[in-house]
Amino acid sequence: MKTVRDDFTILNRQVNGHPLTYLDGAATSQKPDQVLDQIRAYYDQKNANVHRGVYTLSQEATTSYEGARAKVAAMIGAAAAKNIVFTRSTTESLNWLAQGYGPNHLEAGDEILLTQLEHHSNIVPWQVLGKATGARLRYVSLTDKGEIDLADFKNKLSQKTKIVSFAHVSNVLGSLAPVKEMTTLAHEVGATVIVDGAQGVGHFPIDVLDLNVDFYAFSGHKMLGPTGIGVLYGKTDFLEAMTPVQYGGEMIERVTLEEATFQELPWRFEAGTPNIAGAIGLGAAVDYLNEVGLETIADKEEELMAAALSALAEIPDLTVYGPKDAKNHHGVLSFNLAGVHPHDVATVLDMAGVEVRAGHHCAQPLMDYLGIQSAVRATFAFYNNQEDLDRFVSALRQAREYFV
Amino acid sequence: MNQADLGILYRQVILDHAKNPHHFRTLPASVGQQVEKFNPSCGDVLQVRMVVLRNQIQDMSFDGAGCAISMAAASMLTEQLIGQSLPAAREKLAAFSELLMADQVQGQNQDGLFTDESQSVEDKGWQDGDVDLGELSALAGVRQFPTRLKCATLASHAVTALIAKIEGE
Ligand SMILES: Cc1ncc(COP(=O)(O)O)c(C=O)c1O
Repeated sequence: MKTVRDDFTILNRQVNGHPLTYLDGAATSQKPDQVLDQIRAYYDQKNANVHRGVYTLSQEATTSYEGARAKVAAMIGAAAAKNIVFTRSTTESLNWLAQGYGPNHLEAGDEILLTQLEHHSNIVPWQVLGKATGARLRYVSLTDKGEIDLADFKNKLSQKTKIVSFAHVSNVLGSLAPVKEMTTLAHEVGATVIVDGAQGVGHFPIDVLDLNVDFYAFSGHKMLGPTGIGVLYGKTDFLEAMTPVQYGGEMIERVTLEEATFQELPWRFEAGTPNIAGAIGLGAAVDYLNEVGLETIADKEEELMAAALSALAEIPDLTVYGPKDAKNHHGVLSFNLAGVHPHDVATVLDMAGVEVRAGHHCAQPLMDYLGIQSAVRATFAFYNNQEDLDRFVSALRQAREYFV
Repeated sequence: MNQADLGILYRQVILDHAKNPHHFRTLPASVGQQVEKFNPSCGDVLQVRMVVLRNQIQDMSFDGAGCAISMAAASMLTEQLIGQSLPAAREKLAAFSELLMADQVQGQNQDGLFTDESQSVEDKGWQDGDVDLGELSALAGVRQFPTRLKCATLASHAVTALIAKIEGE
């Protein structure tokens, strides 16, 4: 029987003499043939610059590029394609917000509210903005279960809060933020809500209009697409209130020696030749995700997580971080083996072909909060299976035997 | 998993040092000089302290948390450096750095597997002129695990910075 695994050529390879067991989808997902084929087809059949030529090839390239935008918009429930700005990544989307939206909307003494579990890319741009504007950064604490503490969130929200930015799903704990509730509360004090969706999109259905967030950022490469393409979703009036961060070709309407006027949304933000192949690959990824079904994906990831959590519970001296129920892990599982450094665990696993991440996962403030320096993280994606889990658990037992 | 492959990296002497690191303690802040280094990929922090008298290393200590490789490297390094003159210490550091970098690329074949030549260096022990690295040469296996080079060099980078700091005063 054909399975989704057949679509991922890379899963056939061997690593260190063992079948590849790829458990690092939270860092970057693997790419199905359908995505790679579309990128190839663009270069083979339609390669031309977009929005420029009157000739057929350019028209075809433009149609594919803009078609990808429409696919992304539909997948996350955006009102229109113009609400989708293509960026390089989540990191670039968040930086553009800090540089293009932040300065116009903050004064000294205002507050930017983040949480204790953010990825560095949702901390550092705000720190720099805070230094430049005199705005103060505050952090919402977490509950024992590793979830955002809503009571603390309410306490820290005030009229001074101008920007609230937080991860939809933690890339370390796997926990889901109560986005809708937080957004309603933040809007009550007039704050702008930004959600870092890097670990959300592609794992379960998302509807940005229902969530009512003002901005939503994510990366193509974490949702089966290629690297170098990301998305910044914004409500129309919020995108209108944002200044472009880059200037040049494509984004202008008319240029004289003295000044220039800019394009409509979303092209105003996309200066220069964009990542056309990347956008087309992302569009193909959206098609693929829709075909498999986001509900199916969510179920499969939860099923693997439940099996993983019960297998790890059998291993002595192993601490799992974050929620204890599979429902609130969204494919992400971080842990430590007492007495063995995460790097050593990861090397032993790698020798068995099991690829996991070890380190601070770009979330050092969260590591401090958990009282650790680093952790091992295994991600379970819908293209992983029980054999992957078995190889992972057996390698983990060997790591423990080797070092403890 | 192939235990023999793991043994290339985790030689027994490395595991021993990692379990029972030498000079792993806190010297009082009033004694000697200290440098702190971070391994940005895992967040490990290492503090190294050194006492130098008349250009000679009298004592060393290190503190912090780390993986087996970085702990063993720090332990073996203190072992090799205590009692050395500063110029001799710098020579050892240079030889150690060369040991880890030597034919790192040639040592790998296309599949990322390692050829026999790179192993033989480790087996015959590393000799660079007349610099004797002692147990530190057991770390030659790290060359075959490029992602772990930063772990192996955290302590030596700290010590290099520390010597520069001391000589600068
Ligand atoms: C929660 C979260 N935010 C932001 C990022 C940054 O994504 P990128 O490196 O694709 O910009 C990541 C991924 O590393 C992430 O997991």
